[in-house]
Amino acid sequence: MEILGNLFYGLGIALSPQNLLMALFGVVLGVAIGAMPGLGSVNGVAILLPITFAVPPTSAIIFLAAIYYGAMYGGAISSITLNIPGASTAVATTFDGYPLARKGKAADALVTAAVASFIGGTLSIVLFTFFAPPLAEFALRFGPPEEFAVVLLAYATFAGLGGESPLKTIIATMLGLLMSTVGTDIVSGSPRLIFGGITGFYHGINFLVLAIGIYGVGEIFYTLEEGFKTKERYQAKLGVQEIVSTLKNLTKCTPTIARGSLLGFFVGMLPAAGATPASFMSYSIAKRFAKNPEEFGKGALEGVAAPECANNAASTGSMLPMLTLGIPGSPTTAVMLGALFVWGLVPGPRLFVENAEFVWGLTGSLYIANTMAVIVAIFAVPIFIWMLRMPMTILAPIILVVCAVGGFSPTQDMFDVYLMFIFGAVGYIFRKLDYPLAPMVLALVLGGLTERTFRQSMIMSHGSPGIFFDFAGHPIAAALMMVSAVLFILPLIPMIFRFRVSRSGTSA
Amino acid sequence: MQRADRIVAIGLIFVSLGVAWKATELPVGILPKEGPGGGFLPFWLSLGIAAVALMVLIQSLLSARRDESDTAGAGVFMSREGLGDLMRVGLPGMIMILLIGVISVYFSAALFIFYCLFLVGGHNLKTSLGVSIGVPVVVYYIFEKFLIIPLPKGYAEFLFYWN
Repeated sequence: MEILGNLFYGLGIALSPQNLLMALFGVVLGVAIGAMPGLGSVNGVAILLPITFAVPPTSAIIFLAAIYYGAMYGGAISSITLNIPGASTAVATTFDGYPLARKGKAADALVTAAVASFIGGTLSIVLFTFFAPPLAEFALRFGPPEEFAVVLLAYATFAGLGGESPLKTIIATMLGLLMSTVGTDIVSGSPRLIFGGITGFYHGINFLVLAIGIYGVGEIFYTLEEGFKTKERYQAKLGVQEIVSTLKNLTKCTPTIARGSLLGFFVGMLPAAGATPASFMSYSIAKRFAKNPEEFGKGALEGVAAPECANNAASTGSMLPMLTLGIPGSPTTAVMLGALFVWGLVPGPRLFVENAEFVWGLTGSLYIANTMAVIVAIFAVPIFIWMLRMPMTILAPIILVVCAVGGFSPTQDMFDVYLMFIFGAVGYIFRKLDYPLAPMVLALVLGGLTERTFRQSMIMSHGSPGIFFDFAGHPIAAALMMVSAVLFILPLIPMIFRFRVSRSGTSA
Repeated sequence: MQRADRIVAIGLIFVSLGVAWKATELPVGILPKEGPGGGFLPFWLSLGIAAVALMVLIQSLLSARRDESDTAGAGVFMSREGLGDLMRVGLPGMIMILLIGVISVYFSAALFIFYCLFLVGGHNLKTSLGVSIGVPVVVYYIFEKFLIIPLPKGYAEFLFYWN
């Protein structure tokens, strides 16, 4: 019952005019950004984060969460109408969404996507409301060794789910960590890695500079090189009639949506898994359970409903470990986690006690943002279709300018803008060479915490790393370390195996 | 593509070795009673990066012995047209960034957007002028007036405080 009381308290905060406006603003921007090809929730949150520094943290997180949410809806729009996934989370939506649009059923697909997203989102918010407090309470018992083990687990899961090459995932993670050590040594206070006293390095490398560089500038470079050839487009008609008839058809998708939502929530909760894998898993499970699996890929409504409910559920799920443990469940929440630090909030169990307004205000706003998003997503479709027609030659320069401004505002230092541009170029090259970028951002965000907990633990143990494997003294830490070790080693096994095969292949 | 992969791996090895060398300015070992020194993490991390980058390089060299076409590393890193498109916007973008500190973010952005729309995108004069003036004006109102975050204005500073 305490939870219900807190929830009403949160809804009260979320319903204040300013927060309501932030949510609406965020949802509209999120849907728009999600619908733009190449830009997803990470890009939106990273690029727009600097403008939240002027409002209180609660309003700011409501804004960011609304963008995150809106982008999940928006991604489906371009997937269905243009066959260009608006974001990686909506790739699975193209499988059946676009065939439906080609059959002239774009409206059905769009409404299904919106409604499935709504149900997925709402179910997982309810789960979030009830799961978050106990998890936070559990984490209250964590000391530096446990915290370090949890952080390591986050890196391990990113390594396990990274791109084609596990080696490159490891490099990306270590690069991010290395960047986090630039600035001041936290224990001795002496400047570190400032390369002969470059002033801009004294305050460290702000994660936003990297995030905007990679997800803003780098992404634009990538799309510019790909070239924006206009694809064939289909007009999406959408009236009240279409909406009602689709809603009637939707009942047969109910089991799919229920499964997808639960799956999405739990996958989203896992560190680093996030909405993209959740949507793919949900799609394949829906296909396996379907009575008509042969229709999948040719325009099955379930094929649209499954990934869409899962990606929304996952986006809520991924906020759970971010708030309770300080471990982001997805690249977007990694950026949001960085924002928490900027606002001076410490994620983790104490957040629920000391910043109850923040936590419950966010929870309350999730319910509201979700409702707003479904309305915006359905009724603003014509506007978004118009926006999608905006050529890259207009969008690209505007986004570059916004990136420059966004890179400047957190630290008010032109050095960071130059650095951001360099990161953009490096990020672009890395992306082309299959270096995963999310682990780098995650490592930079978590780097400070990693080093602090590691060195605190080592001070506790008088310099012995045995503290992390002490099953008697720190059972949780030791168990988590074991899980991390397994996750680190797993992706390397097929690589070694492949290596052997390739060697025997050449000798034969 | 494979060549680019190797160049980046070699670059990473050199850069990280350089960083490792810089990291030795602080103690890199484990100090008695204090735990790891300030240079510990950056030093071992950069050595780690160098080692893994070396593995990537070796992997790439070994895979070259196999049929080139079936490896993931095959294909061109960048097509000529792609590079052209990128340079037509990327280089001016860089100039735009460098000009921010000289002629203010607003004029620099306006020039850059106008260039991209009118000269690269081939949009008409009305659209080009509209967007290139509209965007800086919106940015000005959001940042300077609403958020009260002053953006760099360079030598154009006086233009913003004439009244």
